[in-house]
Amino acid sequence: MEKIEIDPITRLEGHGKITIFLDDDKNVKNAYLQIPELRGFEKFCQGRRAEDMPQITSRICGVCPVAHHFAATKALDDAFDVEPPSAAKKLRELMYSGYIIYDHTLHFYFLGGPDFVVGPDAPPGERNILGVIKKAGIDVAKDVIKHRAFGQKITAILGGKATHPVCGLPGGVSKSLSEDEVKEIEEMIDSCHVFAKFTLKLFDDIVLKNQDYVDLILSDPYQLDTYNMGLVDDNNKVNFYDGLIRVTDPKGKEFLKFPVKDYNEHVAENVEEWTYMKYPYLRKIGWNGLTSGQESGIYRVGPLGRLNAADGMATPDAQKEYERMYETLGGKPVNSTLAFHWARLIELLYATERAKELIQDPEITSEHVRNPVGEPGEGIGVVEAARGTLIHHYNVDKDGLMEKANLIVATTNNAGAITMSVRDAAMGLVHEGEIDEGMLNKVEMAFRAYDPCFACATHSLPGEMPLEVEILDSKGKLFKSLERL
Amino acid sequence: MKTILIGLGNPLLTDDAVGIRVAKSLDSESWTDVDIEEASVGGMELVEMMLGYERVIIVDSIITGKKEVGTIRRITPEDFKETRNVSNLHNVGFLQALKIWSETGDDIIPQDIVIYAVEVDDVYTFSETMTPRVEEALPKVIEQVRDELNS
Repeated sequence: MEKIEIDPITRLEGHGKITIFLDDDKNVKNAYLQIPELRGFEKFCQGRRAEDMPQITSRICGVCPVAHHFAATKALDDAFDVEPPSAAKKLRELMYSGYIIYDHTLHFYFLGGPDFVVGPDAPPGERNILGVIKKAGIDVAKDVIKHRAFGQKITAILGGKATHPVCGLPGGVSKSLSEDEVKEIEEMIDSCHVFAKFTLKLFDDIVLKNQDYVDLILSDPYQLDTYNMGLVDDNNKVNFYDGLIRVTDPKGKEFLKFPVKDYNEHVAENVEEWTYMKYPYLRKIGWNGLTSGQESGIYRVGPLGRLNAADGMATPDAQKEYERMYETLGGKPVNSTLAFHWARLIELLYATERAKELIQDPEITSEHVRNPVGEPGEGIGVVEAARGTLIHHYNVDKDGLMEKANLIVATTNNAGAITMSVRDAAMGLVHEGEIDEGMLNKVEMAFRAYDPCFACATHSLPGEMPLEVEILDSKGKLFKSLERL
Repeated sequence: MKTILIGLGNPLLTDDAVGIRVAKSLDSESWTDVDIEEASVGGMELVEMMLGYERVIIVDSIITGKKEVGTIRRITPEDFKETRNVSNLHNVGFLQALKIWSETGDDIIPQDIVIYAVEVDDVYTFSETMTPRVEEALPKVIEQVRDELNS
């Protein structure tokens, strides 16, 4: 059996790997995804002050520190049996919106966008942010840089520190907002809102008005019908910061809705012998291997998972875009992996609208931002990280020290789906061993749509995923190798 | 020359702390015209940290598997292409980010960038203790970077 390896080389997490196996006729037989594991997290946490967890976990990952920070903070609210004041919740959600703004912006323009803006078959040297700049113009590039920085600035003002926030405490946040800060944030949000609309227009002009791209999105190799999961508010609308976890089935019908404290009753992890990677699945359905459909417990999280799992968006402009996406792509649910990109931009728009609501809320300058904590114990917290549902589960002893920590990160939740998407793309695109750059990129696109984050390492820049591909013959000898920067 | 020294890495992942440790140590000394920062960022954020400086010195861990653990290398952006095998520096991302800024930004882009890359053993295990060979190399790294700052 021949083997093709796609090896994304990134900084610390360098060994995430897609391996594609060919059969004797050199057609794709199977594909697997492996993600490197950071070791010793649980041991590292044991005996540490529980209150340090939001800082420690925000350092696990250079890509989504804010998501870890608040999953941890919420787990501590629960562990210390305290409900934060409503102003504190709003401040947290406002900060969270800033994170979604910069993260989703970065993904679209740096990582996902180049495939569409520059083209999936363009030479890899051009298929990057610089190619996007060349095509869309220097002013667009300036806007991308400006608004990504705005998102980050919003989180820095609220978080007390750039990159790794220090504001989250059990029972609230450490700092309230001044009137001056409110004004500064509001101006940035207004600008981000215009930018989000512009980005959707750009997606419209470049992607949706090009029938080839619409066909690509709807083509078979990129379809995957699974269950979908995401946090929803009281009206079943998408929410990043809080709510119940809702799961819909592959046909779009509500299957489960539960508070995160019950996650263990609903989600189990399958362990395969060939990898240390765990594949979560829905207990009620069961593990049915790497298969899709109603009978398989595998689910998707992240932008498309969230939109499919909800009944809509809680803000007016985003709701319009939500409706338009489902109309354009043939109704709900949308099971095309490439639609993750569109869903991501709808969420970007939502984040700017939601941030605007929050910054205009009179309570946002309240100085009552923390409630006293109770006795420590077990705590579970959930947020929607940019790339999907993120759960932190802690056990804290009577002295406030950590006994146990378990995290279920977004990319793990998506592990089964990513593996299948890559496999199906490879099966649909690689025939009789014919493999070229454009085809490889299209396989990678199936993977990239999820915005996966490998092992939560520190310096990784989303947007860079150089590939090495090895095709080995049935005896394991190198038959062909491809590499791109 | 207005200089920034950036110690890069994750202080919680064993040897990935090496850049941070160097920055911490040199920050306790007194410097003129030198800012010292610790950071766990890459690409765009890393470049944003450098804006307005004329000279940048980065200290980071690296795993090539081809050099002895503890080996210190001085790399400039021009060398990046040749060190393509240096898989974990994420150099393309960094260079791209630098290029974006130089094409779009009105800020001062540093012309003088030097990276001290220390070959390490383990960046996958959560620990605040570095492995012995990296710990042993630390004073030498500090010394070299200090000389660079003084040059």
